[in-house]
Formats: sequence, C-alpha cells, structure tokens
Amino acid sequence: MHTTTSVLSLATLPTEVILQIFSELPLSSVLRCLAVCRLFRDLISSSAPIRYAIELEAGGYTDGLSGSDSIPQRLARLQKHRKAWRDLSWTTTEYTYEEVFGNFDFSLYELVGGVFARGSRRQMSFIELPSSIRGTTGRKFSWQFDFELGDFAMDPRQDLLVLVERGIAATHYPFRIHLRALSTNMAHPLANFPILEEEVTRMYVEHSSYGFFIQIMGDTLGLLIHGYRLPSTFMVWQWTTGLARARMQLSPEHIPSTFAFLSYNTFVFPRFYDRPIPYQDENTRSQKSFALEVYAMRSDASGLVDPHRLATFLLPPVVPSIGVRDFRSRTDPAPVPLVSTSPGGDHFQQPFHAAPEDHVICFSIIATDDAERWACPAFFTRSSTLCGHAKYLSQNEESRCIPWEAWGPPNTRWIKRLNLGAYECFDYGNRFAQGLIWDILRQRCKRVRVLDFNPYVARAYRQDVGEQEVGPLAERGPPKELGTSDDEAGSTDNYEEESDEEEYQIDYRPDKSVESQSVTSTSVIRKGGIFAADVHSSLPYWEVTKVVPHQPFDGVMMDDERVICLTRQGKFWVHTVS
Amino acid sequence: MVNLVTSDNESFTVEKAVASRSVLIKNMLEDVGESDQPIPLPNVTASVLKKVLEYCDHHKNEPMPTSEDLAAEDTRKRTTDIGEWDQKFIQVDQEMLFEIILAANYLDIKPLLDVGCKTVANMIKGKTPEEIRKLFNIVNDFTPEEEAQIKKENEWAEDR
Repeated sequence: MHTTTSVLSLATLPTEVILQIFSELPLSSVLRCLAVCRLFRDLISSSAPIRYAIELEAGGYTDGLSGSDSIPQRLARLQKHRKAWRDLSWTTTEYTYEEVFGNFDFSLYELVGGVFARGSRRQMSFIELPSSIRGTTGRKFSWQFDFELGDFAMDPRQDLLVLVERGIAATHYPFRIHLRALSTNMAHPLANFPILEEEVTRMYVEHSSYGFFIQIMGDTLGLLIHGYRLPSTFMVWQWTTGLARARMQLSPEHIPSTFAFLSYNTFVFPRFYDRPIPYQDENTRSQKSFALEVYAMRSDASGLVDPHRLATFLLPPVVPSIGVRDFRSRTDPAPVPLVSTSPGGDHFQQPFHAAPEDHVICFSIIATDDAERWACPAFFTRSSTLCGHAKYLSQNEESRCIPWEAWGPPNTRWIKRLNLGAYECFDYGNRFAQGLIWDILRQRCKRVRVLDFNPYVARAYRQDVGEQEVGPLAERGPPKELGTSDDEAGSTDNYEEESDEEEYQIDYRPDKSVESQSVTSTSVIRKGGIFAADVHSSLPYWEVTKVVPHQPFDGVMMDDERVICLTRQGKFWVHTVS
Repeated sequence: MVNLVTSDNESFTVEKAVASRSVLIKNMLEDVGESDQPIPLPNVTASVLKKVLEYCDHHKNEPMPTSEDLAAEDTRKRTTDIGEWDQKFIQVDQEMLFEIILAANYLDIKPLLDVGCKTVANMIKGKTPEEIRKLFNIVNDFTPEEEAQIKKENEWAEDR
C-alpha cells in the first residue's frame, strides 16, 4: 500500500516540469520568478533554453530555423551580438564601388540581410557580405535581365528577388513582377507563378512620372504604384501561391507614396489630408491633418475586396498654412522565419533575427510653415503600437480616429530634423542608424549614430551606465535635399535644443570615439513652425555614437549585422558589428 | 478494454483508445500485445487517475500529436490559450492540479501536461515574487540583500 503523505507544491514538481512552466511565461514574469526562491533562480539561470528565450525577448529577436547550432551556441552568439550593438564594437572593411559593382551606372540599391545590391536598367550586382552570425564568407554575383527594371526588392532569407518590369508605352504592357531565386536568377522554386501580371490604368504606361514602392514580409508581397497627380494602385499578393490578397485603387488626392506592413494582415498608409478627413467626427475635425491609416486585409485571400480601415492614428495638430511636400514611412519589415526548400535559401538562414511582430517605423515629413520655412521633422513608433491600439477599437466606433494625445506622446519619439539624404535602408528591427554631420559646408559625416527603440534595451542599459538623465535628441544639420543654409534653419526656429555651434563640436571628438546614453525622458518640440501645439514624446531609446576610422561619408545603410558608410562615388566602408 | 490498477489498488477498466492517450500505456500495450493482464500504475492514485481518464475520454478521438508537431512547437513561441473544455476540466484545487501534472508527466500525456503547465503559468503571470510565494506556499530563502539585488537587476523588464 502506497500513500502520499507529503503535500505537493510547485517547488516539488520535477525540474523539467517547472522549466516547462517557466517557458510558458512572458519575460517579465520569468524574471520575477528569479526573486521567488533559490531553487527557481538556480533553475532559470542554469537553463540555456530559458536564458535564450529571455535574451531573445529582451532584444526583440525571434529564433530562426537554422538547425545547425545548439541552444547554448545560439545563446552565446546572441549575447555577443547584442553587446556588440550596444557598444558599436565593429570591424571595418573598405571597398570601392568599382571592385564590387564594376563600372555600371547604378541607380537602385538596397541592403537586406547581408546582401548589398545595386541595380541599373538591365542588370543587378550583388555582394554578399561576410557574416559572423551565419558563419559565412562573402561572395559577389551579378544578374542580367531581358527587360527594363523599374524597381526591385529582395529577401535573402527566402532566397527571393522581386523584379518590377517597367511597362513599354507603345505596347500597353501590363506591369509584370518577376519572382526569382536570388541565388540563381531563375524562377523561384516556391512561387507557383514566377511572373505576376497586373493590369493597370493606361495612364501609367503613357506617363513616365510614376514610381514604385515594394515591401516583402514573409510570403506577403506589397506593391504601390504611384504617380504625381495620378491615381495609384496598391496590390498585395501571397507570392508563393500568386493569390491576390488586396487591391486598392487610390484617388489622386492624398495618395501615400509608401506603405509599411505591420503584420501579415495589416499595413499602414501615411497620409496627409489638406481638407478635413471625411470620415472623422465633425466636431473634432481639423482643416488639415497628418494621419496614419491602418488597414486590415482579409485572410481569405479572395483579393477582390478592398482592405478595410481598422483605425486612423492622428498626428499632432498642424497650422492651417502648412504646405506638405512629403510624408512617408521608412522601414524594412523584419524578415520572418520561413523554411526554404531552395538550396540558395538555406545559405541565408540564421540562428535568430529581429522579431517580425515588433519593429520600429520611422515616419518623416517635409513641409513648409506659414512663412515658407522648411521643416523636416520625423518620428519613430513601433509597429506593435499601431497594431495594438487598432485592436482595442470597437467595431461600431464609426470614425475610428485616435486623437494624437490618446496614443502619441508615450509611444512615439519625435526629432526636429531628420537628415537622410538619398539612402533608404537605415533601419532594421528596433534599430535605426544615421550619419552625424561633421562638415557643415560639404554636409559630410564622421560619426555614426545608432538608436535602439526596444524599450527593454533603453531601460536595461540605463542601469548599466548609471542613473544619468539626459536631454532629448538634438538634430544636427539642415535638411540636405532642400538646400537651406544652416543659418536660416537655426535662427528662425524656436525649438529647444542645443546651439548648432555646440552640436558640431560634440560631433567630432576623436578622444571620445564611442559615446552612449539611455534616453527615457520626455522631449518637446515647441509650438511654432508647422505645429499648432507643443509636441511631447517619450518613447525610450538607447543611443550609441561612434567616430568612424576612415574618411568622411555621405550616408549610412544598415541591416541586422552591419552599418555601411557610403560616399557618392569611390569608396564605401562596411562596419561589421560583432 | 484495458485494465489499469492504481497505487491504492483500485482498478479501472477503460477502452483501449482512452488508455492509449498515455504514451506510456500505449507503449506497454504494444510491448505485451493482446493480454488481459492488468497494468499497474504505482505512481498514480485512484482519485487522480479518475480525473486523468476523464480527460483522455474527452479527447480520445483527436489525432495524437506527431513528433513533427512537437518539434515545430519547440521552435515557435508557445501560446497560453487553453481550450474551453480543458479550462473547465482543470478548475481544481492546487493539490489536484499538481497531482494531474505529475500524472500527465509520468503517463506521458503531452497535451494534458501542457494544459497543466499553462494553467500554473497563468496563475504566476502578473504576480509579484511575494504573491507567487504566498500562492504556492514557497519559503523565501534569500537574504533581504540578495533579494533586493535580484530585483534591481531585473527592474528593466517591469512594465511601467
């Protein structure tokens, strides 16, 4: 006869069961369990899978499907990787455009997942940069096409190269999208239809002033075809099956020039309304407003229904005299794990990558105020903010407009001026990179700045560096593309920030080559200029800046493992963060 | 039919499909072949086995999880969603909850073990270390200094 006399409790369960319970917990609860008793602390700190899960969530990463590394190996790599980004510890390799891309005149470029690509009208050249995460060495390759390239996008982890074929006016050609394997330039093995065709209005074909914007998120492919004062078309496909998931015809007013996927089923359009937003409640309407419209696609993939608007996030109120030249999103959607069946795809698999469900999106504005002065503010927010808030709106709330004050201040971080130049790929996951201007006259940079908007990072590293409280982001330099002199910009603004003179001194101090800080305080852009009220924002971030060990550069691009400093011609430098 | 004998010497006669939700019993049945021999379960009491068999009976027609499913689950983040019936089923006192978890672990009934672990996880979620100790009768064996140090180190993960 066997009887149980001891009282069962959580702590007496078998170790593997307690560990399974911990593995079901979110990060904050696991860390609270550390403080419950010695047994729990020892179990958690000696379990590589749980420590890996903590490290992934704390850094905003998700596990990849590369099977070769064990969990302790992945944990070690991830810890090293995160520490390297925290301190911008990197190794630098110098390249010349000529040795990498030959003597072609390239106009398109992109950096995704370690592949730096440039495209011309009928040719693309690629350099796959060495990777310490994946343990691969670099290689170069180049593909030719028998059509004129309008634009391209790629996702090396899926071995996917998307090519937009520009239509030919005389033949009233539809647009064609070629789905190819990056590694072979052949039809992609996972694509049921290697060419997607889209009938568009003839106006495009006859009119040359249209542009493309492509984004890939896993098996979801979005294409926006837009032109100045022309109707726009927005299409989303599941590229593997070729099924259309969304199709929207956008009228010439308030056309977005970009979109950003927030998840597989949602995307956001940044839009400026120069008249009251038609669907907004009459008593809260403004004359003009910036809006982030979040749409949901139906998951049945019928493709014939328009996506429906989930919610509209309003931006801070603007002065009625505002004139807007540009309002766009700037993001690379985080790649998602997808088991690739093509040999080329395996090569690009890696042990972990930025979590797709939460990445930072930068929205930038170029506008003039009532005195015709240029302003180019920008702000950062996280995709989870836009998805999360949209979910809480009830179905019957008619206007589904969320006023700025109800979501913006804690969930965004505004900067007064975003200095970007021509380069686009400057964010990845939760991070954003830019060059800090050192030489005002020639607008060249000598310092790289990386911001990490993962909220855990800002708070965790703050403890590491001590409880220092620092001021908000001060932006350096006038807007490059608009050609205003710095004096104009500096003297007419009444924003609170450091004087420019001081800024430029701060920018280049070789004796303090790496500086970092955690910013959790609220920053303010004062009323005036384009804004009708003070703009408060407090999304925390971690900032690290580093002086580059080479000549001044014009702009940066970044991905998960590196920052590339570019010049307009001649050389570029790849800083591999590891 | 299969005959199961508990640690307190009660015997249960159940359908093979029900008993086979337990991988342990399923393997035993495969090893011994067709036989009327009762299967002894020395680690499970009658009151717990009764509850476990209730679970197995309700889920007897569902496909068994394959090893591929299990492998895929490890790489993906687990969800803490529990089905409606399972949720009602697992509404028991703490002692019984842990008994069920132990039995599911011993009998190798993975879906039941998952339900049990998720239920405990849901009880822990959102609670402070003090509340967790109180709920589960755990003795705090840290010195105040150690405890303060651990809390400080992990402050960054607290929701504001």
